[in-house]
Parts: sequence; C-alpha cells; structure tokens
Amino acid sequence: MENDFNDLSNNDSYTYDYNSTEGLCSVDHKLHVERFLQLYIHPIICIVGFIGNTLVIVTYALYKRTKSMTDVYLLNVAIADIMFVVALPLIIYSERHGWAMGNWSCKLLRGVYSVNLYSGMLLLACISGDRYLAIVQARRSYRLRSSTLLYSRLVCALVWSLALVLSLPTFIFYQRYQPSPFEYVSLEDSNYTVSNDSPYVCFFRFTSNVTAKTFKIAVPSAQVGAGFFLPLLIMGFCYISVIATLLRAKNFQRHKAVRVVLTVVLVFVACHTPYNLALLYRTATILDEQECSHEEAVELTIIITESLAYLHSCLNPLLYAFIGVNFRNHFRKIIEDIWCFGKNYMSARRSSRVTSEMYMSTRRSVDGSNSDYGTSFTM
Amino acid sequence: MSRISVATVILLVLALSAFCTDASALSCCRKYTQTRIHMSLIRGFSIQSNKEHCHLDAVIFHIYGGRNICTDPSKPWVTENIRKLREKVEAIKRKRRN
Repeated sequence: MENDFNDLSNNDSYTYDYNSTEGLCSVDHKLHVERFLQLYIHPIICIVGFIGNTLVIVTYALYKRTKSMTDVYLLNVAIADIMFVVALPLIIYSERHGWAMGNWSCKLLRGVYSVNLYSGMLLLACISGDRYLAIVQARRSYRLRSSTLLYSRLVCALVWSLALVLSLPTFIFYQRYQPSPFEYVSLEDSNYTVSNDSPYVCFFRFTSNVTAKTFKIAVPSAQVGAGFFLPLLIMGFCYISVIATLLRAKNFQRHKAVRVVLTVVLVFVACHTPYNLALLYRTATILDEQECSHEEAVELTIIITESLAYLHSCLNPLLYAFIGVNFRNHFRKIIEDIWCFGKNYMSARRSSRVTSEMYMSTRRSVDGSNSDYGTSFTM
Repeated sequence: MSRISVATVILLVLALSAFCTDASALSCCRKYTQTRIHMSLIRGFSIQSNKEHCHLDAVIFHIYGGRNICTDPSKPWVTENIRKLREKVEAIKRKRRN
C-alpha cells in the first residue's frame, strides 16, 4: 500500500471537520489539561526538585567526605532526580516547538528521561535493601560493611546499566516525525490532493505492525513492572522487616524511626500507584476498540496521575536526605559557610586578610565532616 | 491594581490561546463503524497505521457533509472502496497528462 501519488502534491491543502466523526477521537481536552499542567504544575515541581536535589549533591560533593553505602545511593538518587527535572522542561519546550532541534534531541531527551525514571525507582529499592541489611541483618552485615563502598558502587553501576537496557527501546524507536495519516487523499471536482501539514511530534515509530504491537505493550509493561512493582515489592519486604525489628527493639527513638519508614513507603505508594495502575490499564486495552469518551477518560487520568508521580522527585531530598540528622548538620555547615563567605566578601573591601581566613574556615568545615565516620545512616 | 489584574488576565488568555495548537493531526480512530459506506458518498480517505502514535490500523473515509468515518481495513468492502478510489485518482492523473 505504498503511496503512489506523492509526486503530485497540491498546494491548496484540504481541511475537514473533525467535529463530526465516527470513531475518530479528538485529543483537544487532553491537550488542554496537559498544557495547563506543563505551564503551571511542572515548572513548580522542576524548580523545587532542582533546588532540593542540587543541595543534596552540593552537600555530598563539598562537605561530606565519608561515604557510607546509603550516601552513595542517596547521591545517585539525587543525580537521577536532577537529570529527570532537567529533562522534563526541555521535553516540554521541544514539544511546543516541534522538536526543532531535530531527531537526536527527541531520542536523547526521551531516553534520558526513561533512564532516570528507572534508576530513580530502583535506587530507592536499593536504599531499602541497605537499611534492611543494617537493621535486620545487623550482625551479619557488620563484617560486610567494611567493603560496603565497593558493593554500593557496584550495585549503582548495575542499576544504571539495567535502567539503560530497559530504556533501549526508547532510544531506538522514538523518532521525530509528522503524525499524519499515512496517506491522505481527497477527490473533488475531478481533482485530488495529497496533504500533510501537521506539526512534528516525538514518539514511537516502527517499521512493521508486529514490532509496533509488541513494543507498544512491552515498553509500558516493563515500566510498570521494573519501574514500579519490583521496587515496591523490595521496599515492602525490606521496610516491613525493618519495622518489625524496630518494634522489638527497646530504643526510645524507635517510634520516630518507624514513622520515618512509614512516611517513606506511604509517599512512594501515594505518588506512584495511581499513575502505574492507570498505565497498566491503558496498556492492557491499548490495542482494543474503544469509545472516545473512555479513551479520553483514560488519557486524562494518566496525565494527571503522572504529575503526581513527578512530584516524588522533589520529595526525595526531604524524605531521604534532609530527614537524617547527619545530613542536616552538614547542610547547616554549608549555610554557615555561605553566610561567612558573604560576611567575608563584604569585609574584603576593607581588609585584605580575607582569603586566608576563608581558606581556614573551609578547611575546618571539611575536617569537621571527616570526624563522624560511620554514623551517616539516615534515620 | 485593576491595571495589573487586566494585564494578568490578558497574559493568561494569551498563554491559554497558545495552547490551542492544531490538535486535529493527533486525533486517532479508536473504533470502527458497523455500517458500510457507499462509494458515491466518499470524497476522500486517509490511512491510519498503528506503527505511529495511533494504536489501531484504520481507513478513514471522508464523506460529503464533512463527516469522517473510521473503518476496518480488514473488511473486504473497505479495501474494495480504496481500490476504486485509487483507480479514480489514476484516471485523473492520466487526464492531467493529456
């Protein structure tokens, strides 16, 4: 069914009324809600997420020289989240400008988005596993923890490679193209037109029907499976064991620890469950015939719950890093140093001794962070 | 104060009107019609493929009166109509050359 009259394209392209259709579903409502979210909700999430995760990375990079297993994971989660909140506005911008930067920007942005989605979720599972080892298997893991740094780096490398492998279909099959009817012919007054003047999109494009059907099911299934249910199962098992152990312990701080664990799990479930269930439902019915109203309801549910899932990337710094006393202390040190820096900068106009003073203060704070070795467990 | 709010409203309206890009191109057939369409009603067609952003393979017939109807390309009457339409196009092409 190759288009055999492309050679005679006509200028007076012919428009038809989409309002009176049978089975052809308009996406106007979806686009309106989507644009609203993109203009008013996503920027807030991206800015807050960017600030929070930058603070985490800066704190680790400048002030926290000791790196426990948890620190390595937390740093990696922050990196994944920051790449995610940077990719998101770039995707929105490109979408509204017809992906003018070309095919590579479509593949790269969508691919990076996917990699960070997977790695972010899987790393949260790693953190739960790390806490499980530290609390439930405390004795057994005591010997292990001498070589933890190596292990955690290995696990992180594994998580990033897995995320990359799971995102390969996105890198390969996402393309920038004009979403046209494959063939559009209009016959009128013994004349005909073949037209295509639609805006560019960045989406899956396949060469055969079989690959199209396979990957349109496989890619979202993998996302729900490896990007939600797998981390959920791991977190569920680890944190239930952690809570059970904590409740048996006779520590006056245990209630606070249990609360922290419950918050982490509940926020994860609240943010990601609606989106993933909606995605699962759409994937299961994607190839079936459907009423337009049904299709619209599903699409709206997905884009709204998706924003809720995005919210998690700006809550992570609060839930994992800032909730820890140690991290807060380091962070306080940063604020103090910035404050001192500001003061020194002001006095620099009067005195020239400022450089050595600043140097000393930085040295002191770095040394300070070195002293509390091995207590960086975030709870 | 009222000046500022007017400006805000105008800005909002402008921002919202920027939303209203051409969405028709992203519309997809999600269901096939049950009724047959006679050749004499058809003034054009387009083909939707599941290889792109739409998830069904479909033939959309554009009929007089401005309606567009999604049909199942595996139905013989649909392929038969397309064949006839292509013949018409070929005829027009030949006429143009002469």
